[in-house]
Amino acid sequence: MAADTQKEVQAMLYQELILALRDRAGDSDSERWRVVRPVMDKGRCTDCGACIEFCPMATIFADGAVIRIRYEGCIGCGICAVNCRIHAITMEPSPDWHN
Amino acid sequence: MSYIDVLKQTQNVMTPGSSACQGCGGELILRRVMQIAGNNSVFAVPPGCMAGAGVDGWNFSNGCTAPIHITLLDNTASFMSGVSEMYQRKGRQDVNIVAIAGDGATADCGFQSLSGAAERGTKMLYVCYDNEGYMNTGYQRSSTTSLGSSTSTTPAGAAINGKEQQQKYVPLIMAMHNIEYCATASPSNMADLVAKIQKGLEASKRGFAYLHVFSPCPTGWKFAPDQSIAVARKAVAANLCPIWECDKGVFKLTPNRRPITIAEFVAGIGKFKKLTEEEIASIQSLVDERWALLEKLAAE
Amino acid sequence: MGKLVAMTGNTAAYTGAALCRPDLIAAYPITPQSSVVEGLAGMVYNGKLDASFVQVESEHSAMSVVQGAAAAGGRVFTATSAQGLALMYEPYFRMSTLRIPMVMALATREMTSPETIWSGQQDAMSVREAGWIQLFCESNQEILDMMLQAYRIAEDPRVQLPVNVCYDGFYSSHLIEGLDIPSQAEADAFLPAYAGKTYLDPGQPAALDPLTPGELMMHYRKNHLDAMKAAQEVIEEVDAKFAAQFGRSYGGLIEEYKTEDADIVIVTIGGMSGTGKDAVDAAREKGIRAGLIKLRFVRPFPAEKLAAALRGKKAFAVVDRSVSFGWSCGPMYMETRAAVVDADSYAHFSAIGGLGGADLSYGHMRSVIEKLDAIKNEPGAHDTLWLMND
Repeated sequence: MAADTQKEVQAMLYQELILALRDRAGDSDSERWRVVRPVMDKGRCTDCGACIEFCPMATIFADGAVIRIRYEGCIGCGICAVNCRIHAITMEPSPDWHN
Repeated sequence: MSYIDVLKQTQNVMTPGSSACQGCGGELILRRVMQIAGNNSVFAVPPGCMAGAGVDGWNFSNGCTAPIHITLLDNTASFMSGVSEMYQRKGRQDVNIVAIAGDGATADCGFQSLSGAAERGTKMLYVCYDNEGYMNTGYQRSSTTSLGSSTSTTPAGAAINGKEQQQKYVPLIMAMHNIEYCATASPSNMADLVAKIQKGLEASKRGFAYLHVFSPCPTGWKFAPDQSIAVARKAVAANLCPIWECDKGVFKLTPNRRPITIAEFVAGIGKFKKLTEEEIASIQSLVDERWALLEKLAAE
Repeated sequence: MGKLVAMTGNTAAYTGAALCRPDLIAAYPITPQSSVVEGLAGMVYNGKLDASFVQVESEHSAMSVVQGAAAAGGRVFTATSAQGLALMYEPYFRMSTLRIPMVMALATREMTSPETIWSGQQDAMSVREAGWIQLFCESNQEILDMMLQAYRIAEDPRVQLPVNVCYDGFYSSHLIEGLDIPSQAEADAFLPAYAGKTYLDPGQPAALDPLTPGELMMHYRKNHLDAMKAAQEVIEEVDAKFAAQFGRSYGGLIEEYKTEDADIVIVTIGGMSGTGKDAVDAAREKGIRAGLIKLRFVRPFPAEKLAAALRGKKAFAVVDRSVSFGWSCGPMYMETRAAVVDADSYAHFSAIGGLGGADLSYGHMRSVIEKLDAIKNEPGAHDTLWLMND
């Protein structure tokens, strides 16, 4: 096989292999297996940022001045709820968790 | 800018999602270090919890968005010495050279290469997240594991009651290497940690900077994941993790305004369940003597 | 041409390496390589060589430091022997499997135990499955010349593998020969400035070598083996280019000495080849049709070339300066046998000598030829000949 064609075939095989591995790796979104997730009571919340400070998964962010929870990557550890100084976060059952 | 503003406004370098445990102190520390170092950096993370959690990228959609390499367990500091030297040679001192390693890679397997890099004054920041054990591989003991800890290689058993040695205190050893900056920190004291990461990065432009950070580990230490920050707070209060820095040889110790005893600290932490009165007293002596030594070093 | 100077093998090694304009050197002293490190330090500290010289605390760190610098786009160099090579094995294996080029000098030395510091090839042979290109030099001139050739081979896009330039500890490293030293301009003409990839680059962020699933890894290993195969052609090309510019050819993968009409052939590795050639000359004077093949490259193993060179001969022996534990013979004898597919149509045996600094003498080589001559009409394997001084 000519060197160029060989390289093309190799590149194609790599692409297919990588796509197959990617499929096999599955969903990285924790939504389906997270048991509980934090829910903010924005009425109590003062947007102090303590939850952002301590979230190990960087799933809480500042939307301008307002703090919100993104949930992507959240695995329901509960640190945000425990460290909220005014108890504005509660851990509630995660809606998509399948028993 | 307050440290909260820094955290709110600085982009994350590590994407959301990893396979770290719930409440992982190491992940929190790693994200902070990467966030503050930013994308104009080269990171090295040796095998351990963070590499195992997929910081290097595993499933093609998560991971560090800056250049990163999983070094060997024992050569993070020496590999990064080479990277640092080459970047110096290229006139690219602006690039942050940062290692984020567990206590296994730092205090044990990679201790020699760490000492070598520090002694040479390699321009880099080396951050150790110390969860007192080889947690990724199943909570085996390390030299930083506290006395009496029940680990998978030092079980609190009928014949021997857990780890028989006191912890080796790496941060003071590093401070004896004449490095630019050496400090301890805890994720519970986030303002202090953020400031030290910034200071460490700045010092790494002049020489070797070392940060030893207490890393609470709910899975290995056996406590509820949502208690990680509380445990870290207590570790500081109990003087198990004294907060100090040594900036170009000058020691500064953060006062401990509300100390608690070791007995109070170990309560509720599974790995300390079988500690005897004697062992508790022993650890208490260790932390008290260490505090006294730090006070002497920090005295003007 | 350059200037003519008398120098040791170690001096030839560092002089050659310096001519290649390395960006960074990290090396730890060990007998008998230490003067390589000292020589390079001397050049850097006296402003004669513009390179970063990193004072490492062990060989493991030496290989790790150069690996980091290479990953950051640098041309790098290190050197070691025996125990140092063993200590650096972990990052050494990674250097080749990361597919990043570099050159290393190995002043070969026997492995401890028994306690030793002297010449042998066990260290080099122990790492032949670590994926590096590996070659052995006979003379100090060859050591210097191969530094330049090694970088060219390593950095060739068809190869992208590190090269280990081996030479006999003490017998080459410490003994003096007269060398023709190329000028810097001549070296630059032969070896262009390094245009290596920067793997860890904030401008092009990527993870260098993340956890790799087996299905993908098998492709990487196959690519590595293919690169080794491609290297055989590159090695010959580079030898020819070197000869064209400097007037010295070493024959590429192997050197054949009086083999055309030979009946019996000794295969040698490294410095012993000179002694072997003397013994061949003496045998020829006595009417024995002896020849010698110098195995220059051990990795890639030049199977086809060796087999072709041995075709039509009656007998061969391979002189190893090391042992293959578990086989009652030397390692290069084993590989030669494997390369010569119809080995048992020849008479053949392994000769082992010169371990731990013991002399591999002219008398020993003569005894190998004498045995070959005696058994040449008895095809098949013969007992291993231990070249001892009893």
